[in-house]
Amino acid sequence: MGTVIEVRGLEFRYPDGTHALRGIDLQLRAGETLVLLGANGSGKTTLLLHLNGLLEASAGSVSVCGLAMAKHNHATIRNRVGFVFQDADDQLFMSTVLDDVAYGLLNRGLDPAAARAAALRALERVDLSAVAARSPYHLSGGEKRRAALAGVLAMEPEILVFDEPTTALDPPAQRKLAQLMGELKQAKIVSTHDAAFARTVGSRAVFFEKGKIAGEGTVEEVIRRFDWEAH
Amino acid sequence: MLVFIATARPWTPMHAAFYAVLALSAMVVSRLPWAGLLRRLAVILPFTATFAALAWISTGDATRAAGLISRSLVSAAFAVVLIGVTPVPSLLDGAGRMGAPVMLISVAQFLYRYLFVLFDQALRMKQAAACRGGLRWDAASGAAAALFVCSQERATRIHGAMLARGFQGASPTLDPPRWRGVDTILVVGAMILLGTARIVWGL
Repeated sequence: MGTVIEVRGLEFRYPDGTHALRGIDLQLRAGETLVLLGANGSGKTTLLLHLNGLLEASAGSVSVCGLAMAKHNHATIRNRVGFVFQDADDQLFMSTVLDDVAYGLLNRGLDPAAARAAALRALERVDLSAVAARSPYHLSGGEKRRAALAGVLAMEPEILVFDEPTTALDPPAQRKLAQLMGELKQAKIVSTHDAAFARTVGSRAVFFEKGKIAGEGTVEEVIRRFDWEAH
Repeated sequence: MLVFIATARPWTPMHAAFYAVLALSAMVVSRLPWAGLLRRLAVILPFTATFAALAWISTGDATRAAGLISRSLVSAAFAVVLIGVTPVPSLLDGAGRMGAPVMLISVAQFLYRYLFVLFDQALRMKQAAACRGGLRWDAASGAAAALFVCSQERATRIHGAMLARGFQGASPTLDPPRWRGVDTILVVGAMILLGTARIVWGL
């Protein structure tokens, strides 16, 4: 399997001086689902934000599909990396669900008719066709999450990044999301606290501790080694 | 319309009546609920009444004060109808197509979007405060600061989400407004009516 994301010696400090990432080395291979586990504030989200250039590394490098993370590559990389944010409310900003799902496609320069067709297909894929004309603010938590995912899937990225995708989802919605993620062929990188969800979707896991990778292996190995069960 | 109202000199009761009839006609044609329209109009009344009172006190001219109120009310009536029948994103899109600077349109779009963010954040904080006995006046300034910090952080996350989906300064929509024949008829008709009123009757 080829490597689609390569992170080498990544360091990051926030402007307030917090040293959030300390020499992260990581690879994501085509087709796999890599799960990031670790406590709150251990650096998982900070790492994910580097994968499409939303944060700029203090030191080290990130490359996506062979492209170095640099300003001139941001547009190309963002077309290849789909990012599903932790809070779906942050991601849904247009006046209707359909407009929101089509947002990235129109930004890419697709004509409105093609963008509409692709957006409707993406909504059908996440079983949300019925709410296409509604305002995103009026959806349930699970629907918002799926609408946000549809907005990303519509762009047909090669890599999917999920930041705490099960936050605020009820168990049936979590099962639906896990099933949907299982059907997606893209390489995925998923940050989660949920050990059961990690087992369902993950093929490999790394454990974050204070901005460093403290261990890696199969999901089961990592969960056992770091005692990452809720009960 | 607002340009014609703003440039009408002098502003007489005849002017007020003419533009009020046009505003009422627009309200009827818009089919917007009267209660909502009047409520929105009432919002501006305290402001205009204050300025009118100041004008009356300082100049002793009651006609001028009444003119100030009537001119503000008919202007606001047209603005309220426009906002009521056209969503703000479409208004901004239209302004962009008419040549308004892209940066200005972007700033207005963000202002509109972040107003909801601010409101949403304020609502959450209000609910959280209510659960703990309500917000005290002496804590209000701290809460306001927290509101702006939270809103700023949230706005940053939204901006990140927009960048992640290719935002490059504009937010295109699937159904951009199109200029139709009826729009031409409306604009030309309005220009003829207002132009005639201005030239022939000085309105």
